[in-house]
Parts: sequence; C-alpha cells; structure tokens
Amino acid sequence: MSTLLFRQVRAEWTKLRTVRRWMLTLLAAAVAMVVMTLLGAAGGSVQHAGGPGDVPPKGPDGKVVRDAFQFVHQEMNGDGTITAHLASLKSLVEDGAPRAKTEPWAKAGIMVKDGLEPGASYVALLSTVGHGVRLQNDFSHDKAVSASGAWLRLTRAGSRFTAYVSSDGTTWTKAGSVTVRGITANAQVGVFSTSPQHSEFERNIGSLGVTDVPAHGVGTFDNVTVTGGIPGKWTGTAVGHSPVFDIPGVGHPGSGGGGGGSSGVKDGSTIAAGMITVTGSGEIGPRPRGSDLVQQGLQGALFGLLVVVAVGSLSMTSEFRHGLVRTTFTALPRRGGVLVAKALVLGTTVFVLSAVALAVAFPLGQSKMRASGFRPPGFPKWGLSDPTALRAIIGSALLVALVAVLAMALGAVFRHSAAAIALVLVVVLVPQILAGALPLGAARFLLSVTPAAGFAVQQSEPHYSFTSDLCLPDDGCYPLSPWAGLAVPCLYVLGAMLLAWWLLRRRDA
Amino acid sequence: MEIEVDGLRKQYGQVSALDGVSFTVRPGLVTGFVGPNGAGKSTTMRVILGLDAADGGRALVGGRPYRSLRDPLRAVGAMLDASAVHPGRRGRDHLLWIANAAGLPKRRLNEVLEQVGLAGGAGKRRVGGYSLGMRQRLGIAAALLGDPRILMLDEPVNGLDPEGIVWIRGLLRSLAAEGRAVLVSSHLMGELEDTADRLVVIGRGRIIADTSVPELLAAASGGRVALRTSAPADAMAVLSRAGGTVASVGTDALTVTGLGAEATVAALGASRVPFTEVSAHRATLEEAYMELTRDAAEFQAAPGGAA
Repeated sequence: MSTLLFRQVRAEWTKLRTVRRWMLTLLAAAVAMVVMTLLGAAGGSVQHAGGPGDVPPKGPDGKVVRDAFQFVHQEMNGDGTITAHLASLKSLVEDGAPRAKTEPWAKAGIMVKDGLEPGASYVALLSTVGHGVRLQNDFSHDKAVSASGAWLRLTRAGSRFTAYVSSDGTTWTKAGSVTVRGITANAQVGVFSTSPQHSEFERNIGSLGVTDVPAHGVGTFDNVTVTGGIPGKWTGTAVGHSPVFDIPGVGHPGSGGGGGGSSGVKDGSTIAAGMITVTGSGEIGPRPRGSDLVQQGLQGALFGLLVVVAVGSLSMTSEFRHGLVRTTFTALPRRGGVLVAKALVLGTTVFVLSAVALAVAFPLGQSKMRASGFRPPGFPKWGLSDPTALRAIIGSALLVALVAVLAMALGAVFRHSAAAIALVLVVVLVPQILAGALPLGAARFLLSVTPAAGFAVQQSEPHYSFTSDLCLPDDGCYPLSPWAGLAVPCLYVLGAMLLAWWLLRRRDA
Repeated sequence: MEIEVDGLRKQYGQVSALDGVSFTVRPGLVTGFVGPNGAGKSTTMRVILGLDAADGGRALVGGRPYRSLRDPLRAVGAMLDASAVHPGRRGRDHLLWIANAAGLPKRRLNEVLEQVGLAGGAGKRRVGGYSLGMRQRLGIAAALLGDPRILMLDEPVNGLDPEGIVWIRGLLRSLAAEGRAVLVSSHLMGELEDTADRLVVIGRGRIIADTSVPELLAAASGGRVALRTSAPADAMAVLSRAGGTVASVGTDALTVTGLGAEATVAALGASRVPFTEVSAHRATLEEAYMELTRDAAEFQAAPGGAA
C-alpha cells in the first residue's frame, strides 16, 4: 500500500515537473510573490509625531498594551481577598444629547495589580455595561464568567486568583480562577472604572468614516472590604494617563482616554460614607490593530495565489482535455489514490516555493517599511526569527498551497479549467472585495466562512473580541484567529477533495 | 493470460452502446476487433480496462477485473488514443511517469523507444511537435513498457505511413508469437487481413461474428457463383427457375447464390444462354465484413424506423 502511494506520488511529481510551462508559471508565481511584497511594502509612509516619551506601555508578555483607568486602591501584602458591591455602573458618552448613548465596553470592578505602572500584571473581575461580568488578566486574557452579579470578590492565594460572583452578597458562586505569576506579594488592590471611546462608524463602498466620542465609565461601589491588607487607606490614581499615543495607520486617532473631555465630566474618584465612586476613561487590553507590518509584508502571497490557481487546475483538467486521464487510470486504477497523490505533490511543491519566496521577500519588505518610518519604538521590528512572523509566512505559504489544491480538486469536479479557476477566484477574492461594501456583520461573516478567512493567518495580532476595537475589513482585519482562519480553506479543500473523489469513482474516465 | 468479455451492456441515455458483448482474447493469437465507427469497439476496450463501468456483464483480465490487478501494466499494455499525451511533455518523460506509476526500471524507456523506432532524438522532443505516426509509436511504446502479457491497441494503424503499417503488422505477429494475447481494433477489415488470426466483428453494440479468418471468408463466399454473360436478362430468368437467387452486379455480370457452379453451368447450357465466364466467387475479407455489418445495420434500423 505504501509502495503504491509512493508510485502514485512519484508519477504525479514526474508529470508536474515535465511540463515546462507549468514550472515556468510556478516560478513566475514565486517572482510575483517577491515583487508584489516589495511593492506593497513601498506603499505607505509614516511620520513620527512625538519623541521617545510616546512609547506605549508593554504588558507582562512584552507586547504593547493599553492600560488606562481610574483606580482607588490600597496595598495588600501576600494573600487576601477583596470584596465589593457594584451599586451602579454607568456609561457617560460625551455627545450632544446627554445620556443618549452608552458604550457597551464601559466597565467597573475590582482589581489586583502589581503596582501602578501602566502595563503591570493584573487580575480584574469586572462588570461591563453590555457584555456581562468578566474575569480578565494581563491584557490579552479574558473570560466571560457571568451574565450579571453586582457583588464581586477576588481571592489571592499565592499566584492563584479565584473569582466569586454573588447577587446578594451572601450566596457566592465561584466564577473562575486564573494563575498569574507576575504579581508580586506587595500588590495594589481596589476598585476601578474606565470606558473606551465610543465609536460610531459609517461604511460605504470604498470609504469608512469613524467618529470617536470620549466616554467615561462611572462605577459606584459600597461594602468594599479588603482582608489581608494594611487596614484602611484608599488612594485614587489615574493609571496610565500621561503620554497619549496615537495608533498610526488606523482611521480613528484615539485620545487614549485623555482624562476628561470638554463636556465637564471629569475622571476621578470620591470616597464618602462607605461609598466609592470612580469615574474613569481609557481601555485595559491589547493594543488595537494598527498597521500590521507582518500582514503588509506578505501581500505578495495573494498575487502568487492567483498564479498558482492556474497551474493547480490545469494539472488536473489537462488530463481530461487530452484524454490522458485514461492512461493515468490504466496505470493506477485507484482513482482516489491518484487524487491524493496529485494533491500531495501540488500542495508540497507550491508550499515550498511560496515559503521560500515569502521568506526571501519578508525581510526585504520589512527593511523597506522601516526605511519609510515604520520602525521602533512606534512599530515592532519583525524578523524571520520572530515566531509570529514565521507563523504568518508559513501560514501564508500553506494558504497558497491550499488554494492550489482547491483549484486542482475543483478541476476534477468540473473537468474544465475555466470553471475551476473562476470558482476559486470567486470564493477567495470576491469576499475580500465585498467585505468593503457590505454591512460590518455581513462582511465579517463572509470573511469567516469563505476560504478568504485563511488570510487571518497573516495577521501578527489576532482580533480580540473583548475590547471595543472594531474588526474592520477595511483595516485588513479578519475576524478569526490565525489558525482557525486557516482551517476554513482546509475544510473547503477537504470538501472539494471528497466531491472530486466521489465523482472520479462514479464517472467514466 | 486472456481477456474474457461476458455479456457486456452499456447504455448512454437512450442509445445502447453495448448490447450483450461476449468474446475471448486468447494468448498466442492476434484477435482483430472490427466494426464500423461507433460500433462499440472503444467502449468495450475502456470497460475491459476498468475506465468505464458497464451496466451489465463483466470483463475479466486473467480471471480478475482490471481494477483489482496488482500490477496492471505488467498484465495489460493498452493504447486507446495516440493523441492522449500532454503536448508540452517530452516523449521520454511521458513514458517516464508511466514507468514511475508502474514501478518499472528506467532502462525500459530506452528499450521500448528502440522497439518502436523512436530511439535517438525523438524521445527528447516535446510531443506537441510529433506527427500522428510518431504519436502512434509513442502510444505503442507506452503499451509495451510493462512487458505485458496482453496487448490492447485501438486503431494502431491510423496515421502510420506504409512503412509503419508493415512494421506494426510484424510487431503484432511477433508479440503473439511470444505467447501474448493481442487485441487490435480497426474499422477497416483489410488492415487486419494478413495480421489477425481471429476476428471479432461488432456492429451496433452486438457481436456479429467471432471466428477465424478462413471460416469467415468461406461463410461469406457461401456457394456464390460469379457469372459473366451477354444475355443477363435470359440468364436471370433461367437461373431463377432453376432455384437460384440472382443479383445483377454490372451490365453483364451476375452473382448466383444457391445453385453452385456446376448446376449453374448445366442450367445455362440446357437453355442455351450464352456465357463467357463462370467462377466460384471468392469473397474478400472486406466484402464479408461489409455484408455482415450491413445486416447488422438493417436489423437495427427496422425498429427505429417503426417508432
């Protein structure tokens, strides 16, 4: 059996490499990937607005983060528990009509944080205006733990933090727990509140207008108790509010929550008669997708993909066109095996070719982009040794190979290259074109269920759904995580292969 | 190893392509598979090779269905269509992928190229530039690659020059002499006259005759007498009265069936009808074939015309 597969693979490899036009086309695909990557990298330019003071904070994992909120805190040494009743949570959006709008990601809750520096490790149990109660830590970890619950409790035991939620303050339910090692024994605990800016956007074909309105979260707490701390003294601090940094490349310059706006709402806190009211603005979470240099540095993959689709479909349809398929099936009567061998040979060849082309093009493109201003500290420096960049390159090459195999399998279904090529281009390209025109929900759906979802693998940062950041196709944001995105074209290939296999067995050759 | 075809049926929509085709291809013999274009020769061959599925009946190669053979190319070498090659591939590479698929050593490439007369530069050229004759030879080379016990060639003479025709006849004879079973199809009986040991004649999806060449000729000649006379009308009247069936084949030529040469001469002599030549008719293979296939056509045409 294994020798049969070996023969099948060897025969298909001989077929592929002995048609000179196919090899030249594959080579052209590799060249297209390099050239288009370099052209794409030369496209943008950026000027640095500020100096080194604008360096955004880095989270415990070294990634840049946003960390701005109002914190009323005291010290807690070692293990302990903080309990608070969130009497009310309001979202104040500074818009013409007062109180007319709310920001669903306005939040307030309790927090244990390793000091007051922006970017310091933390665990927070918080309630949001529109997204329930959540347990978050270290900027990129989030878990929805409860739909509601006004009483919040967070217990520390070493590096283990356990969250409890209650609706009445007497019956507590364990809501979840996390292990966070970055918080030293000498931590700050307290209540906090914050709200990201409220964004409203208008999309038309080819244009996108985003309006950002400053917003505040107002949390009113009572029955705030801390055990294990030094009894007593609450201090209010605006964490992370000094340097404001813009997110270059994004259509909506954020003020980062610059401590109050024009309408008179001021961030701050009041402590009176057992009540703590905290008004804050900003966001706690990963840095939003700005210019994704990794994604921009792999634009050639799309062009290579367009070229290999032709070779992929022709490698199958030429067999039908010339009647060669009869010779093939006479030599190798197991048709499913022939199909698998073709897919293996084509997929591997295209993958290796694309991986090499992109690995060559990527560093060149990055240095080109650095030369036009996309450089540290405002932008990360990406190289081939970064696991994220490597994942994006390998993933892009896999995507190109998958699409080639998809074209081949559809070639077996239609037995006609024009039909196979057209369908592949429709399912891969059209979603990306339509995504700019359709309503956001439909666009995201399209980019999640069509093979175009595979381009998510090129993103250096996934889209985090637990922030107010929009995943806009216009910004090149694909809604799925990198590997989940790549799994979508995999499923399409699987489906097309099964259909092709069934038809090859069923039809006369 | 032999090919056994038993009761094959295949329907393309309303058209019955194969209507109970049965025959056997024996080792050591060249079996000619003849019939007009569209009679079902190629369909039968595709069914034998497991390429097309039959609606009924079975085709066995060495007692097994083709698709279950372990090393199919060592059992059967087939050429169905000489133009079934990728024009962008070199002739030698075309053979190479087949050799790889069958797990055959590379030296076979040179051996078969030499055997079909494509040794030298021809194998290194792309097939797109081949003449039909060269493609035919390449197709035969591919069929010979696995040194198979059975050869199956569909219209191999097509496109060959006279020298090539002589060559392929010799090749087919020598392959059979080596004990292989050879099935070779043609729509022209004459092509097979000196080559085939046995003939399977197919028309409209049915086997019309399965016989040896001498038997077929004898059957076709069937007691016919060719007659040349200056008084054809008188001769027809006399011979009909004597019990023969008479057909006019020219201004002064008749064919008499059912009497034999002796009785014909006697009847003509008794009635003093002058004649210049009486000879027992020796049918050519082509004539026998025409007659057979004409019958088949008439047989099939009647129900269709009535409907």
